[in-house]
Amino acid sequence: MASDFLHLQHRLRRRLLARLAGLTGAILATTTGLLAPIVAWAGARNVEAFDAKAIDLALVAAGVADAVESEDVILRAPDIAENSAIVHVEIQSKVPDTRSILIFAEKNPQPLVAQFDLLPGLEPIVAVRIKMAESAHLRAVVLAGDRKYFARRETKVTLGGCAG
Amino acid sequence: MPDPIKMRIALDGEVATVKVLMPHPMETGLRKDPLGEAMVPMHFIHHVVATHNGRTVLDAQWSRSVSKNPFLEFRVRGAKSGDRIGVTWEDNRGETMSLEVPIK
Amino acid sequence: MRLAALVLGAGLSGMFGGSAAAPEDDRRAYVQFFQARFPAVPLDDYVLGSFMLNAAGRRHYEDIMAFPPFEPDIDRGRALWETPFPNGRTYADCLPDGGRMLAGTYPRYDAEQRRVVTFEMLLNRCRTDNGEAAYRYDDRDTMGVLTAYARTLSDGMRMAIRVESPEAVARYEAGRAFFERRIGQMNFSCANCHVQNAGRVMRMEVISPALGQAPHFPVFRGGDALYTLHARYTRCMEQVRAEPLPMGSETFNDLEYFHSYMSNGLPLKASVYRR
Repeated sequence: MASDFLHLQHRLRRRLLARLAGLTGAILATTTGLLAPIVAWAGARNVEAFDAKAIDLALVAAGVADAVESEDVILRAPDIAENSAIVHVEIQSKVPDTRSILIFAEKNPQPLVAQFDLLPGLEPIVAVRIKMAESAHLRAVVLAGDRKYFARRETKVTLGGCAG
Repeated sequence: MPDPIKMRIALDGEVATVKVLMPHPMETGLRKDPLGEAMVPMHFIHHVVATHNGRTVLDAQWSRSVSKNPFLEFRVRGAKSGDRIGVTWEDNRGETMSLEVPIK
Repeated sequence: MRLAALVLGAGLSGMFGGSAAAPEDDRRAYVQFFQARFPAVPLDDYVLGSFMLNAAGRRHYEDIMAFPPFEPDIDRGRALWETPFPNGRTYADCLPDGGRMLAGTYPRYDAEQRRVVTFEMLLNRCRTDNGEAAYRYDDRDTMGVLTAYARTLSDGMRMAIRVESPEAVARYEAGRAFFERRIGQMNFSCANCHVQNAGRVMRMEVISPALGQAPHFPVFRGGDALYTLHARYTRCMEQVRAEPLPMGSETFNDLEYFHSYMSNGLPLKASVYRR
């Protein structure tokens, strides 16, 4: 029963991922967690997008270069990050049927920082802490079916110093 | 092996807000070993999966730009006390770690 | 000018040296000075350092403190704290009320030892009384994480440093003298940055006021670099290009005594995120 369910889950994930633009050579890996029962490692990494070394290339590789700016994507990040090693970022989507949330730090050596694929049962909001190589725009992209939206905001990073 | 995953869950109505800390060095491969000239090898979590009662609800791919000891927050709908929330990570060396806890 | 009041305060406490009124006069003068500069900031917010001046920065601080990346380090400190010595006793056995609501009363002047005793010296005293070697004050993996955990047991208590006897006042005055002494190639004193220039921007950062600093140490800078208060003192000395004093040195102990007294009445909040 459980394995049937997971198998179904697996196939659903593959279909979902296949629909995401820019996917190349999906690799499927399965492993067993140490404590949890079984987790289906369905995630196919878009290697080309993660390896891209400039924001334009990363957006194209991720298939989101044609996303439109939207107020329905809410990107919360500090205007001035306290430290470039830890920038707390929250992305919320008000777009119905949000399937994926991507976060880019535009001037990082590899701008694509994370891709979150949301399955049914998850609210379209995630938070994560990221490193920034330098002051730059952060860009959050939301995929909802064929629709693609983004929000962008600048975060300045400062050096450590006398603020203890 | 890194320290165990830590998870805190707050249930508000039917929505569980899950905050996760995953101790991990998240080495970019771009940092010099402070004691020598060699670069610290790249070592980072690249894949995270979250489950609700065993069913995958979040599947995340990460780069090495996620901060050291990564933090992740997400919200699960249709959650109730006693439900199980699980998180598993896998890093670029193929090491994995999992934690599953019931919602109080 | 307000600073004149401080300088005047210094003169007064010199005149009345030996009286416990002098430290209290100083403290009031500092509070008055900072409140005049930052009239909108409630006193309790001073333990937030420069985040008290910056709503966005404070939000970021709170986001990080909601689940700090340095929690594994505090867990390590807790493990040290809870592991009994070979004789079966623990740190909690050494200290009144198991070490709870205690750190805000340190440093203290110890009349028998005729010196200032810091909270970390108290922890080491517990070790040596139980046949263990003292930890080094500059060792982040032992004393650093231990005090990072132990001080959180006093979170929320109001700082209550006592400077009573003439001998205690002398140590306090020594601490204040160091606080005001210009040092290093940059020729800065602690007061130059953290009193005169508090709230101003240097290298894109807002300089925190001296008031409220002592109650929130240790800090984890950048999310994982543990700095005890003395480690921060050495870093400050490096930043003004002075030869840093050793952590745990008597000068630092005296400085901490003065620096902590200033924050009397503020809520202790140990082991926090700083940039």
